[in-house]
Amino acid sequence: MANNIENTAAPFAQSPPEQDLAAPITATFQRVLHVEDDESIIAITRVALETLGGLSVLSCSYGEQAIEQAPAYAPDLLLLDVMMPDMDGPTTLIELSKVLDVSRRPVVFMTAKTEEADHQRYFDLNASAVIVKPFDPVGLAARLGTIWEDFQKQENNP
Amino acid sequence: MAQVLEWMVEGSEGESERLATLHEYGILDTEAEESFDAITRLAALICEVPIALISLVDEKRQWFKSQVGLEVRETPRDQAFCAHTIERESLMEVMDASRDPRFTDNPLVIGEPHIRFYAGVPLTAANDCRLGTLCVIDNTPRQLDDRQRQALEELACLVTSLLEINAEKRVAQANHAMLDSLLEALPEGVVASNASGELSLFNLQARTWHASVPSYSTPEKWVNQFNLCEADGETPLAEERIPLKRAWNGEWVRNQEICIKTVDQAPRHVICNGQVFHSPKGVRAGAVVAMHDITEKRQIDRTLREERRRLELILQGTQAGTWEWNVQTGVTCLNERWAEIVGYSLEELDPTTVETWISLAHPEDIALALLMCKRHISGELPAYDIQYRMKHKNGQWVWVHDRGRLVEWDTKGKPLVMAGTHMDITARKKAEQESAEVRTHLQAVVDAATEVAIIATDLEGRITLFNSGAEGLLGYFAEEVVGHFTVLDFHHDDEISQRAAELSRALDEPIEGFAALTVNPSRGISERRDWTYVCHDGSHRRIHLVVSAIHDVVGNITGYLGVAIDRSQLQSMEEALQISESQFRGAFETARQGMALVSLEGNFLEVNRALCDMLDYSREELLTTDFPTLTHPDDLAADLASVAQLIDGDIANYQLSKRYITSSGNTIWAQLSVSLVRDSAGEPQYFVAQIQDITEQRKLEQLKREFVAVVSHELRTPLTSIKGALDLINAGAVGVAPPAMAEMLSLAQRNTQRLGQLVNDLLDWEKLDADKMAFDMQRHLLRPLLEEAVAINLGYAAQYDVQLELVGERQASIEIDSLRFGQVMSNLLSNAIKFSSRGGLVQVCYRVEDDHVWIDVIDQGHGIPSEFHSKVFQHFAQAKADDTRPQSGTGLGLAITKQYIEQMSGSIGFRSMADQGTTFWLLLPLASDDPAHAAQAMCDQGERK
Repeated sequence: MANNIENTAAPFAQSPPEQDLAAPITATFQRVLHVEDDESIIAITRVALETLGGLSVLSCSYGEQAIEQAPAYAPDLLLLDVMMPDMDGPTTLIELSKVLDVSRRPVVFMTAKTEEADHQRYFDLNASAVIVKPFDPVGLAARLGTIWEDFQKQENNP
Repeated sequence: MAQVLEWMVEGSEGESERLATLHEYGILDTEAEESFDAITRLAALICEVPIALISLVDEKRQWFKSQVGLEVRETPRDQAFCAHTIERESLMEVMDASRDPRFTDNPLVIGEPHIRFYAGVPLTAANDCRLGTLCVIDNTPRQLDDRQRQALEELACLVTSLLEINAEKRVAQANHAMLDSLLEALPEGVVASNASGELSLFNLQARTWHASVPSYSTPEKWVNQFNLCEADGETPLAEERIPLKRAWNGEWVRNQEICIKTVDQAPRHVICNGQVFHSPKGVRAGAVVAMHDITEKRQIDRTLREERRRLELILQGTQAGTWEWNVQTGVTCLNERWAEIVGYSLEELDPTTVETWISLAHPEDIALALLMCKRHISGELPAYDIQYRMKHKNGQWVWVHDRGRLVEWDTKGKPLVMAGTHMDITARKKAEQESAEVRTHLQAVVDAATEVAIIATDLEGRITLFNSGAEGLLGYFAEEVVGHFTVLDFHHDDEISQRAAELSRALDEPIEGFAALTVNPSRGISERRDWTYVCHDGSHRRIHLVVSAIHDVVGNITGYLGVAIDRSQLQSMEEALQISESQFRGAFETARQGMALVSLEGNFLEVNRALCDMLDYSREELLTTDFPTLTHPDDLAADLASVAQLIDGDIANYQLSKRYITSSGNTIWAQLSVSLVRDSAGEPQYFVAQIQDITEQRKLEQLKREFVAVVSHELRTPLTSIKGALDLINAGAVGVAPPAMAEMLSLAQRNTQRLGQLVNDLLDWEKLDADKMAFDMQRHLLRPLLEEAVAINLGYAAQYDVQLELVGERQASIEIDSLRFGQVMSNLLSNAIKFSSRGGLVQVCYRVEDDHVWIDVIDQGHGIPSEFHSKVFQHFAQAKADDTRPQSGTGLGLAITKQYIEQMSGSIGFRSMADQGTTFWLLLPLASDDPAHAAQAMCDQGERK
């Protein structure tokens, strides 16, 4: 994978949160909604995406929090951990779809599971990509950027 | 005159034809006939002469068929006026012969009848031959007038016609006579009817057959006159069916068989042929029927049929099949019984040739059978006679006995047909075999019974058989005692007397001597008791003796048989048996694992306590059930398949992990080990099963696997954080660390990588172990795969200052899971790099051999210590670390590599010598459609570019 951060990462820019369900999709890749119960991973992801990638990250520690805050945040991409207490990643995605048009945003699952059968289950939920833990934090922003671009191309040329 | 003589001597074609015609007419030297005489008389009258003649001239004379006025019947030809007449075509007239130079000196002129006048007309036959003359003669010179001449010529024509009619009549008469005699002589019966249908001809044979000569009788009378029947010899022949009547009615009678019955004659069968015949004008003139006697043929036919039937009955009685084999064409003719012996019908075997026979005969016997045939055909053997096996339709072998011989030769004397019988002798063979077996067994028993004395005697007790056991027991040789000793010679007199007294009392009759041993056996009661034998050396032995009577086939006693066992030996044997039995029982019963003896049908014959406990059944309950009932349904098929293999002898024993259902319905896992006990003849007897409860063991294994899965998985999350944090720090994401700290952080990062690899290996291992890993086998070109593996490891090699090199040119493709193959290559390469010295070289070499590809990964390191060779592919194994440089690795790499390669139908191995480096090799099959096959084929043909 290319590790060229400058080319793929958008400049840091905080836009005002939207209130309506069908939040407008920005033309640039800026906001990432990250749902993860492990504080260490949250911290690492924030450094990787914000410090190295220049992106904006809304970190949620559990599913309900994400459902609550996502519409206002209007993320450009959803990064969901799979295994979480109470509400797991896939369930969170289903619930999110009730308050956010998830079909217009790339969804990326992050998991420690390496079995392809599991991965297929996530793709069946319209996930755009699955990132296996342990992941490369240095290249994470660039990887998400590529995923977002690919998603946009598909959106424009279905 | 001289001219005539000359002509006579020489003859000519014309004259010989004339003479031949004359003789054909057959008129010479025949009786006088009124019709001719009337003509001569008329000629004399018309010509007014005293003499008139019909003269026929042959070689030497003229002969008169008719004469008037002359007595002689012939005169020599040289004197004949007529000889001159026939020289010309028409009338010759001599007015005065005494003045004619041709006749002046003729005796018939000079003397009687003093001929002066002669006039003759030639008698010209249809073929222009002049046979003679009609002539008139006078003894005074004179001359005929024209009217007389004309009359004479007309009369000559009349004579010629008469001669011709006469000749034809003669021929017809001869023909008729010949026909008559022919008909009479014919062996056939010939009958004919005339135009009005009356019987007109009945030849000798017909008369004989019918014993009567009815002439001109009409058809309606025939039915009564003759006793005629239809071919069956019984049904009377209706009038309309009588052949002659049918023929006369216009039918074309062909081969009609009738039977003629005549008093004093055997019924006669005749075949009749006949038809109507017509006059030249086409009017029905009658009918004729010829009869051919076929009575004898009928008789022969009947006899043949009879014989054939008798033969068939005999064959049926003997249950024999028959065969005929045309040795030249191979065509064979078999009867129904032949086919039946091998279980077929004739239709099923059709068409039958010698191949039919060959295909059914036992492969081991056919060569001999054909050899016997050959030897018979060549005349070496008087007959073909062989017993061999044939395959019955039901798959069994039947014994047959064939006898046959050549019965027909072709015109050149070459063998043509062999024929013979075919008997089913399976039963006899079986009986023979059984009796032979019994004899063999008996002989073997007698011979082998060195521990048992077998002694046979005649009715008086004289010894007739003395086996080796008896020799050993008593110290005598068989030759010494047979025919010389009685059994009483071995017995203690006192014991015999005592026993005799007992028996006398019990039976209320005097018993003594030998009878003490035989009185019971002779009454059908076996005599078993202990006796004391006196041996050759004078010592005494206690023996247990069983005496029985020997009967012949009709049940008469011909002798006695004694079987004696040394008492002391018997006791020790019994004890030994008891001990071994109790030992076995003890081992069986006290075994900690379940044990069972199982019948071939699957029933438990014996079970031990451990098995009862394991399955939670009582011994009695288990003995009334079978193993399939207790087996988990999902495991039964595999178990039964192994059982079948065991019985077939394909395997000697088998092990199986399977589930049983206990009495309470629980499922338990067991490790089953089964072997089959066969008797001395190799026949399966029963199974011995050892059953070990491995339920706990399996639970433990399951737990272990789950633990590994969970642990490795749970390790990933903290690992992700640690590794992530370190990666970010080292990437400078949170500022620059001081050099000393940066070194420590880099150390921490590398170890985190190792930890990650360890977790991945553990997960892979768990998957392989649980058989959960799927392989995506695809066809790939080999070189790009290897190039990629080398490229991926270039960075790693650089860390160790090691060069990588790929050697190999040929295109080849293999069928593998590219991801797993990449892991395998990375594993081998990282190992090789790790164990290389700085500045070393690691080579990847590949080559195609036949339908395989060899891939070598060669390093120049220190080699693998020989004591570690056997553990290289075991999991969690790693050679003791080199002193000079730390080794990293999980110890699972090569174990997983081996598993991967084997899952992809390949194999792996290594060669290593101390300080000479190590070569790990992979052997993988080429893809089935690999172009290297073709390339190799081209190389082999010397078309290398």
